[in-house]
Amino acid sequence: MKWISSSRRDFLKRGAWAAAGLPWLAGQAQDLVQMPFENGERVMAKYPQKRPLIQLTSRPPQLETPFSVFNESLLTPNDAFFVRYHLTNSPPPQAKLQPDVFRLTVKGNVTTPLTLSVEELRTRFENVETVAVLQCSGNSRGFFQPRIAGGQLGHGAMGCARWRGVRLADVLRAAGLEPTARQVVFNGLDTPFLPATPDFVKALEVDLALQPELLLAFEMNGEPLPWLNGFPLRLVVPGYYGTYWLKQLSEITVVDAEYKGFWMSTGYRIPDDPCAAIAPGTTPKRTVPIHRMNVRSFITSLTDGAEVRVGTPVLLRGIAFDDGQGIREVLVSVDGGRRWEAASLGRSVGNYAFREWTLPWDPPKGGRYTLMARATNRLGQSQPLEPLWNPAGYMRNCVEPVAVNAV
Amino acid sequence: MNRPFHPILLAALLLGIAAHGISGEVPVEPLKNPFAGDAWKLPTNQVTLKNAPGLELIQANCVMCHSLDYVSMQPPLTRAQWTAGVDKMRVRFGAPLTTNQIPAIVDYLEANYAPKKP
Repeated sequence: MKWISSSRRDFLKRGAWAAAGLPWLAGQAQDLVQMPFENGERVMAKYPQKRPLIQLTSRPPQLETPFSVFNESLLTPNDAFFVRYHLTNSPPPQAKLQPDVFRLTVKGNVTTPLTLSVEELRTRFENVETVAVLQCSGNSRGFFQPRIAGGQLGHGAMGCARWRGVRLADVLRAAGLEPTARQVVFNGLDTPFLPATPDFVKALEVDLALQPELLLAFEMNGEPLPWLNGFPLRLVVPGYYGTYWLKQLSEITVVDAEYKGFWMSTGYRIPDDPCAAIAPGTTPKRTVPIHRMNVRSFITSLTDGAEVRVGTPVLLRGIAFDDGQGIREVLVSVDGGRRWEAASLGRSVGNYAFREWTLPWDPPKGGRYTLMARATNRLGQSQPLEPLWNPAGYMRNCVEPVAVNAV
Repeated sequence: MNRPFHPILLAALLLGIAAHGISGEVPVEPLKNPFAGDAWKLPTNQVTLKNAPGLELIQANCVMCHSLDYVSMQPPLTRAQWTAGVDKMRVRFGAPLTTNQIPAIVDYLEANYAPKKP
């Protein structure tokens, strides 16, 4: 059976800005896409090394993967992979990224500070690969109710890639951690326009930084990282939200205290609660830095409003993932959640990867069907049937119903 | 039915094994430089916002750091949400705004973004 999308979630239309009735847009004719929430009209913009992607913002670039891509392959192609930068001068200019210019420094509470080119990293340390999902903390923020200010993303700020690099732990050991080491702080070459704007810097506990899964990656799906995804070097933190996966990573500093920069102490924080959720519209009592991803699953083979034929079997297909425990089960409902049936899981390509699921379905009679998928991981963690809420619009992971018509 | 591997990646992996014997061994070929011979440019098309009173303050204080689709993509927000957003730009990100300029900017945002559904 072929893996072909029977409809498109993202409805494309072609036309000049003026013809589309958007006087605030200026430029040439480009495709537009309508996201399924209010004020969801977006430009499909072409960036270097990328196919046209859903543009949220242009400076700095924030680009979303069209959802249909997730039905094409388990590994998200580099040219379709989403992009999220924070600071004005992003991505950093090519001149700073050339092999003879770019250097990674490792300093702070270490016995031997290091300065390494990517070539030195590659040849001095063992090269390893991992397949892992990279997902933005705010993926699916556009679906929050009440709506939340911020990047108004659909479900396309995620992707699964084969990352190749060296272990962060090997590099830290080569530098030699002092006994006082407590956190490892990461900085990239992206910079703000105003000196007063906090640089985008993130920190991980030393124990986490020494886990063998964490990589300093220079390749993605067998190619050098795209410019917009961090060329020449990025941090890979499998199981953790993308905010920690720093791009154009140039500086690793081992510190002996909790790092208190803006992007750790104020930005990217969630309610300190097992579900990271509070009553909509309220303020959390206590917050912590966002960390591990929760369980998600999607139906990818059919999209909202698709038509299926009575008496013609279709293969329902989708993806599931979590923070690396591994997906144990995906249940599927075709009647809005009254009855559930176990889907077949595809071959695992790693616990941090997208896991394919399939279930044959033969619509018995005409009418409207509400399809749902719900994944459970090996710890028994699953997805809520109703959306949860938090003030920054992070970590949406509820069951996402898809309504189709059988004719 | 299953297609977990990209065929090109699979081919690359097999070639890699053929060349080096063991997957994971340090490759001998130099790392490709995707910038070689390429003058890459980011697209320059940028949105402009509705011409209405208050726009000049936004042009003077917001555009230096970010494109204005940061405004136009937002859902309909309450005055309190817009105020919090603009104040965050001043307090957290160092936007050179004075506190008495903020109500004028929020007036503009509230009146023009996001356009309410008819």
